[in-house]
Amino acid sequence: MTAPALPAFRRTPLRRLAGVDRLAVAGAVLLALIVLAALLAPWIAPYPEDGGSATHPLEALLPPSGAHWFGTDQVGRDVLSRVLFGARTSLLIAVAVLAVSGVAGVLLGVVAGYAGGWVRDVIMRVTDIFLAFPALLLSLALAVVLQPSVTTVIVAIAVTWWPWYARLTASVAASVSTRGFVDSARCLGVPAPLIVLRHVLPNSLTPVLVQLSLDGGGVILTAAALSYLGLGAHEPTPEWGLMVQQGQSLFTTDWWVVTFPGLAILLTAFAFNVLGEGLRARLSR
Amino acid sequence: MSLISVRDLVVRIGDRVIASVPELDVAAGECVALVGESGSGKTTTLLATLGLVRGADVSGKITVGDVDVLAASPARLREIRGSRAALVMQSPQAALNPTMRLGTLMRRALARHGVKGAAARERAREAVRAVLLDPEILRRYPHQVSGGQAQRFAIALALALGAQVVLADEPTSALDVTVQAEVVAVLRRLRDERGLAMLLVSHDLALVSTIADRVVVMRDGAVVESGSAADVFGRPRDPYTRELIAAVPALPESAEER
Repeated sequence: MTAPALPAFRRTPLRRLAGVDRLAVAGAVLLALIVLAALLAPWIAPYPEDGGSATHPLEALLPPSGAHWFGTDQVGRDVLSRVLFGARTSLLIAVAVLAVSGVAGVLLGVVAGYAGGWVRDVIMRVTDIFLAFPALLLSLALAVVLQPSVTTVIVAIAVTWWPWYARLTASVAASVSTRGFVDSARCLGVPAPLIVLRHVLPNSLTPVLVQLSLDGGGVILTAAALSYLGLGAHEPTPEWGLMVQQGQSLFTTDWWVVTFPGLAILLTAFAFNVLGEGLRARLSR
Repeated sequence: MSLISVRDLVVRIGDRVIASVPELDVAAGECVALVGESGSGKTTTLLATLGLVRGADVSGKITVGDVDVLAASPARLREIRGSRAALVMQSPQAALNPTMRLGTLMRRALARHGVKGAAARERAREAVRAVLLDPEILRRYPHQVSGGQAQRFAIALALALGAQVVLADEPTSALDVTVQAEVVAVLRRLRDERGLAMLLVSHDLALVSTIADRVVVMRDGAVVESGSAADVFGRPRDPYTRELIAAVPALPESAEER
C-alpha cells in the first residue's frame, strides 16, 4: 500500500528553473523587491521626509547626481525617495482593490455557479450591468462624486473590478458543482452553504488566483490614471500617477521628474503580469 | 422488513418518463441489482430513493427506513443521507474533494451526524479497517490513493456514518478487474456480516451475478423483468434480458448455481 508518488520530474530543480517556472520566479522576485522597497521605504529612502510634505525650494529640479540619484522635483523633493514611498501607495491600492473585489466577486460567483437557476440569473445580470459600463468611465464617475483620495481610488476601482471575478468564478464553480465530490457531499447530507464553502470554493479558486495576479498590474495602471487625472491621491501623497502628471510638462527640460515614477509604474505592472502569466502556465494543465 | 421500499415511482422531465418503477424492495442483508443499458433509468431510480433527482418531477412513494423520502423536509432528508443511506459512486476519486485529506473528510462527515472528537477518530479507524485499508490512509489526499482504495474508503465512509443502506452506482466500472474483485469482496462481506441492504446499479452482468440476490432489468425507463438472480440469469423471460445476457462474453457459472 504505497501512495503513487508525484511524478518525480516536477521536483527536480533543473526542471523548476527551466521554462515557464522561470517566468513566474522572475515576476515573483521582482514583485518581492518592490514590496520590500515599499515596506522599507522609511529606512532606505535617502530623504524620508521628502515622502511627506517637506519642501526644499532652493534644491528644486536638480538633475540626477550622487546626492539625488533620480534628481529632485519642482519643490526640491528627492524623486528617488518619493518613488520609494509611492510604492507603498500603489501596492496598498492594488492589494486593497484585489482583496475587496476578489472576495466580493468570488463569493457572488461561487453562489451563482452552485445555485444556478434564478439565483445565478439575478447575480449574473447585475454583474452584466456593471460590465456594460466602460470600467475607467465608471471609476471616473465615482471618483468625481466622492472626495479625491486614496480611499476613493480603491472604492472606485473595486466597484468596476469585482464583476470579472464574479463571472469567472461562476463559470468555474458551475463546472465544479457537477463533479462527483459535490454530489457525494450532498449525499452525505451536507447543507448547501457548507458545500459551497468547503467543496466548491476551494476547487474553483485556481483560475481566480491567476487572474488576480495578472490584474495587479491593471489596478496599478488604473490607479495611476485616476491620480493622473486628479481624481485620486493628491499632494503631498507620494503617488506615481500624480508624480507623472506633475512632471509631464517638465519633460523636455527636466526629464527625470516624470521618467522615474513612470518607470516604476511600468516595472510594477510588468512584474504582476509576468508573475500571473507564469502562474497561469504552471497551473493550467 | 425492507429498508428501501419504492412504490409507483415515476420520474418525468416534461412529458418524458425517464424512469418508472412500480415496485422495488430491498431488505437488510440483501443486495438488489438494477441492470440495463445506458439511459435505461437505473441511476435515476437510485438517486430518486435519496431524493437527489434534480430538475425532474418525481411521484410515487419512497420509504427509506421509516422516512417517506418524497414528503420529508430538506433537513430530515439531509439527516438520513449518510447516516441511514449512503451512496457509493461510479468514479471514486472524483467523489472525493481533492483539496481535503481523507481523514478530514471523514471527520467532518461524522461531525455532521453528531460524532466528534476521540469517538469520531475511533469510528473512522474502525470503518477503514472494516474495508481492509490501513488507517494510515486517513492522512492522505485523494490523489495519493488508488482507485480501489478510494472506492473502499467511500464504502468505509458509509459504514462510519452507520448507514444500513448502501446505494452503489456502477461501483466498479471505473476500476480494473483485480481491483473490482477487491471491492466486490468487501461489499459482499459487509452485506453478510453487517446485514447491509444494498441497491446496486450496474451494466456489468458478470459482477451482478456474483453479488446480487435479486435483479431488476430496466429498459427505456421501464422495468422489463425482475426476480431472483438465479431466475433472471438462468431462465430469462423477457427477450431484452436474453439479449443482455447474450451480450456478456462469458457469464460465470455462479449465477446458475444460486
